[in-house]
Amino acid sequence: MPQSILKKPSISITAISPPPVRSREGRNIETALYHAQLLQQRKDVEALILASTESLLDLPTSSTADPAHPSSADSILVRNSLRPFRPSDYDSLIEERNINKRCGYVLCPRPNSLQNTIAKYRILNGQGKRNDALRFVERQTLERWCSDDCGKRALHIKVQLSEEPAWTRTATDGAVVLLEDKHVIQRGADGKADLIEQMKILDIDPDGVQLAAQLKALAIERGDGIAPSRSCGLTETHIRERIKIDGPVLPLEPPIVDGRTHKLHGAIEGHQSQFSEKKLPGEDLEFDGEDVMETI
Amino acid sequence: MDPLDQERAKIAADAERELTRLWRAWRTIHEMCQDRGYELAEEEVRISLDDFRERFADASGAPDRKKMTTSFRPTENMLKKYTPLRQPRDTEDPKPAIGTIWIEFSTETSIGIKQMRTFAQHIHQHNFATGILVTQASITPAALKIIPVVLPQIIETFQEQDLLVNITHHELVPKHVLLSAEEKKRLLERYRLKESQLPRIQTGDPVAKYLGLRRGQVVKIIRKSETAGRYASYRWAI
Ligand SMILES: [Zn+2]
Repeated sequence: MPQSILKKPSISITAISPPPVRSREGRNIETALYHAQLLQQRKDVEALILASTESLLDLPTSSTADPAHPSSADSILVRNSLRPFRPSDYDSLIEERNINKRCGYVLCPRPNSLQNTIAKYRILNGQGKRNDALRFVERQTLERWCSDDCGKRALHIKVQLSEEPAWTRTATDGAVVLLEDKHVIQRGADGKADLIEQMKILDIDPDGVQLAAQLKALAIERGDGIAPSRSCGLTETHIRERIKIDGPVLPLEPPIVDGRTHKLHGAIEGHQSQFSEKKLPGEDLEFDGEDVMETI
Repeated sequence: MDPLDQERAKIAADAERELTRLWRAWRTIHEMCQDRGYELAEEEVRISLDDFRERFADASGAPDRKKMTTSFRPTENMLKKYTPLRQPRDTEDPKPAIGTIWIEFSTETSIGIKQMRTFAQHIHQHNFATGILVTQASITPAALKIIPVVLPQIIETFQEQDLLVNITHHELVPKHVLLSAEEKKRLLERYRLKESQLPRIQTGDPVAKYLGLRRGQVVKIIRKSETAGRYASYRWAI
């Protein structure tokens, strides 16, 4: 059941502080313990990511779900599950969904689009003039999603993921906002009453320092207050951004490097001249064979 | 020939080519199991292409991977070789860390988490000690992470293309022989060594993979030399 990963795992994704300095022996033991602990945390996080990837393969819960309007249970599950993910883990999730012939966007029930060509690239009409109007896109990239919209939804998640491994992050890191969540923000942004609600959607700790910064950013956006000397960060952009699904195409990410080799079998077949049929039993040497010189 | 006949001939040639490839992979897997010490009849190992076609070709003459499954039991010798040394605190004789092996040629063109889980479940349900999955393409990194999770049951994977020739039959590859726990102990005692002082061999090394070497095991490598006759060296698997 996908729900099972909602249970908080027995690990805490917080950084372990380095050991304090003491006697040399004590220090060595503590250092060893510290590294053992780090290693265990890393293992736990990796196991959690694997379990989450497996659950997310089966989403959305309903086969008729609309990726533009995901059920709140599913979207909460996605936002929670993706917390420890790095971009590479997320690419791996997309790859796994594609193997199962599903759209790579985790909240989409449709099959991924198989291009009716085996050519490596497709030429698409983009925006711009003359040569700029054409885009060369790898077929493999196009086959990840059911549609351009899902490609955008999926990439919107990816750009929010941290490259930093979860076992060295602080507990509050890693919250993910869905493209559709931002829709809600956009629509609700006129009413100040549900501001806290919006913050919750954004997964921002409502009583933390962040909130103050966000409120200030909102105020500035509406023309009250003075612009701070430096940006309030990513979330400010989130709130101000207008969503246009039909807008310009997001840059496509580089293809997943899957390490697959496409060797030609022909090269090896029929080439057996260097191979004896099988080593003769007489050649089998006993462990303590007299004529065998031991070298270490 | 008219174009339709030409097309038919091409399809038949492709089917034959694929059949021959899989026959080679099938033979290598059998030789490998025999070399590891499982119980195989000689005619199983030396199956001819015609017999292979008879057993595994579909109506079009192409191999049917669904039928390509088999399993073998360890010989007495192999059981002994895989039995750990009796420790002073042991109340009964230690059990061999080896058992029946299951081999399956995957029908899937891509192997991800789902496909690997299905395989792992099969191994688990039938209580096989080892399962070998032979795949048509590489396996996703996420799917490979399932392998250590199912220990002590062992899952090994090979790609068909890596089994087209038996690397250990190559004249440049010296003979590798796995030492039993007892033989390993004697070796270390004789040379007053710790195992960590031996040269190493990665478990991912092609010959180590062929033999199914596990971490901590020691192999004896026997080479022929023009000046010194045969000489042996040892490697510790890591
Ligand atoms: Zn989709």
